[in-house]
Amino acid sequence: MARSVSCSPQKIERMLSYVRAALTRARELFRSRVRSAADQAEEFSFHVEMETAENVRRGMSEADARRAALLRFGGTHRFLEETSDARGVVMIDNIARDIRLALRRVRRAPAFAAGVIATLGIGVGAAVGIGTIVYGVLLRDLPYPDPEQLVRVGFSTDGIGTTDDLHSPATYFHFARSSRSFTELGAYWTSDAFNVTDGDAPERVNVALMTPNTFSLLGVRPLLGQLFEPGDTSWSNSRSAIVISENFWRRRYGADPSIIGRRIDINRGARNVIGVLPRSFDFPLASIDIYYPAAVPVDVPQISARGFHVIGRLRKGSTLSGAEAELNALIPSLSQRFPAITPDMLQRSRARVSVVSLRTATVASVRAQLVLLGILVAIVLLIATTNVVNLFLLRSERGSQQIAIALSLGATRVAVARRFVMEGLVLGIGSGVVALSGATFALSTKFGFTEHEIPRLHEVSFKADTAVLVLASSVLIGAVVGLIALPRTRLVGLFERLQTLRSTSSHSWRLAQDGLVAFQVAVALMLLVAASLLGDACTYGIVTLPKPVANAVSLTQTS
Amino acid sequence: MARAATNEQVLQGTLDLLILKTLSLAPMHGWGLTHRIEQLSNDALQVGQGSIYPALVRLEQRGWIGTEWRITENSRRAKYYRLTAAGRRALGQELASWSRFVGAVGLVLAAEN
Repeated sequence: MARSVSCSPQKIERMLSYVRAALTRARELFRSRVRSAADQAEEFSFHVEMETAENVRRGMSEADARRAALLRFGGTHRFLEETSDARGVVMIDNIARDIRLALRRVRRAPAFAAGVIATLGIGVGAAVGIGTIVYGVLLRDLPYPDPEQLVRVGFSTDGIGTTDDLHSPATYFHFARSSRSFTELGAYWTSDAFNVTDGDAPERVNVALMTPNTFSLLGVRPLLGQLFEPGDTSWSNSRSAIVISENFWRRRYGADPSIIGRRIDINRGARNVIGVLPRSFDFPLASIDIYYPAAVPVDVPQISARGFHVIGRLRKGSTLSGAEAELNALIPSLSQRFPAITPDMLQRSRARVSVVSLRTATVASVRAQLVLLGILVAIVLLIATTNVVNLFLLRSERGSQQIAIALSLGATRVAVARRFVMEGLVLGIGSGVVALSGATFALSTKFGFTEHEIPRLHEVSFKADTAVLVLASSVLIGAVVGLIALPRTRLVGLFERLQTLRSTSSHSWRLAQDGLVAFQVAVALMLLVAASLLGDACTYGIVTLPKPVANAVSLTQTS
Repeated sequence: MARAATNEQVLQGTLDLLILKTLSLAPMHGWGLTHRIEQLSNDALQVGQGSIYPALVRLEQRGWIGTEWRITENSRRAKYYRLTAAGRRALGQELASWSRFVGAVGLVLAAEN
């Protein structure tokens, strides 16, 4: 299915025209401000001159007349400020003043500020840090071209008691030949039974053995040299090609650019390095050092002993379910191609094909845990936010007296609201800074997990958009919390308000606070129960810590 | 009438009415306006000179008065204010509400025990 998130030229054009219009407006605003300021200055000096002349006519000296005129007028500054206030131009200056005021109020209540910043900072930092991991692992597209076309093809036989979804050479061969839903199907397996013995120190390496089309199927390009060709699997091919990973190239060969064409001794045979893959390529595991081209020989056709992972790229227009249906329909014809696999055998083993997106398959082992983790961290953020709301409410209760006085002296409700929102914003920015370091910590340590435990984890890192997300959510939460605290400052008369204050908190106010506390306790309890259940589940093996899919099978190949 | 002993500060909210009324007589610049109001009230009312301009800007924003730069008789450039059609209508309403207010205050003050 075509995705509609792409940026069409028209969309970009439209966005640009918005930007242009906004710039023009800003320029005009600035110009008209300059112009009107000049006009006002002229009007002002005209006024003072007229007044001076009038005073002179009444018999004052020139200097006295001018001083009197200025005095009566009230000073330049006041003139400019009051007229521009009436114009509404002064808004920007007001915001700056509000920020200064908010900073001053925050400084005057350091404990309150520290509480808000720490609580919100930790909450947002944890949420964004873990949220980024959850998103990066579960939801982000795989780093290949047209990643939505990439699938994992499983072959299972529940009827004979196997639980894996791997292929035998026969099933891979059959589907690769007969299916029309895919541009290509590739097979691979991994092994750690390879030793590199060139140079001084022998080294045991992780190897992926794959049909040569796997790289082109995924759409990867080499960092150096080239990748496999179809003929590379033939034993008579003198190329004896292998491809190595960037990590291995840097670690063992010091990133030597003359590595291409070098002969390496592996398992007492010699292989030629034809290419180096970029670090961003992490298939099937980021820990793979060497890639071997592998044939899938169909000498003994069978379906019970299986060890190949199969991936494919869907043809344009094919769907997951369509491809799955096609492959399942092809199962009976296995018997025609390989008489050794009898229809009875297929039926008894309940042979079945599954087609799932490669992304889903890659992270299937950790999906449940990560979703749970995401929910838990969201609850933590909820609790943190509730705490901050509570702090704000307490403070607004204490500040009610000043607010009451400000309101009765003519401050507008908007001005009071602005004060609260601004304070929330300032504290939100402070929390954002704390949250940034929290998220950085979460994403740099990843809590000690590696890609062996959580696939794709190494793809997750702290990026500019993470920082933007942290700051934006902190500031937004700050502003919203500031606003939530606001309904307390309803416009009641000064008298009632002061009276309420002299007694204890009002009834409805206390109800709201009790409600908040009850809510917090409930949510905290929920969190505790969920966390301990998860802990128990891990202890008793109901939930097992994830293992990467590609390690499910390790075959040794001797060459 | 003799000159009032003290100058009354213009009551908040009546300044708009005074400006509209004075401008309905003739367009004039800010300084002229303050003096005209004082003159018309026999110097009983004193218009804060710095406060008349914010009021003028406000009225201009409401579309009740218009502005233009003109040359005065002393050949100086000055900003003149004049009443617009909308301002004339507003003046009528302000006058009506003012007379209701004065009437109401009068009723209270005329009350007897």
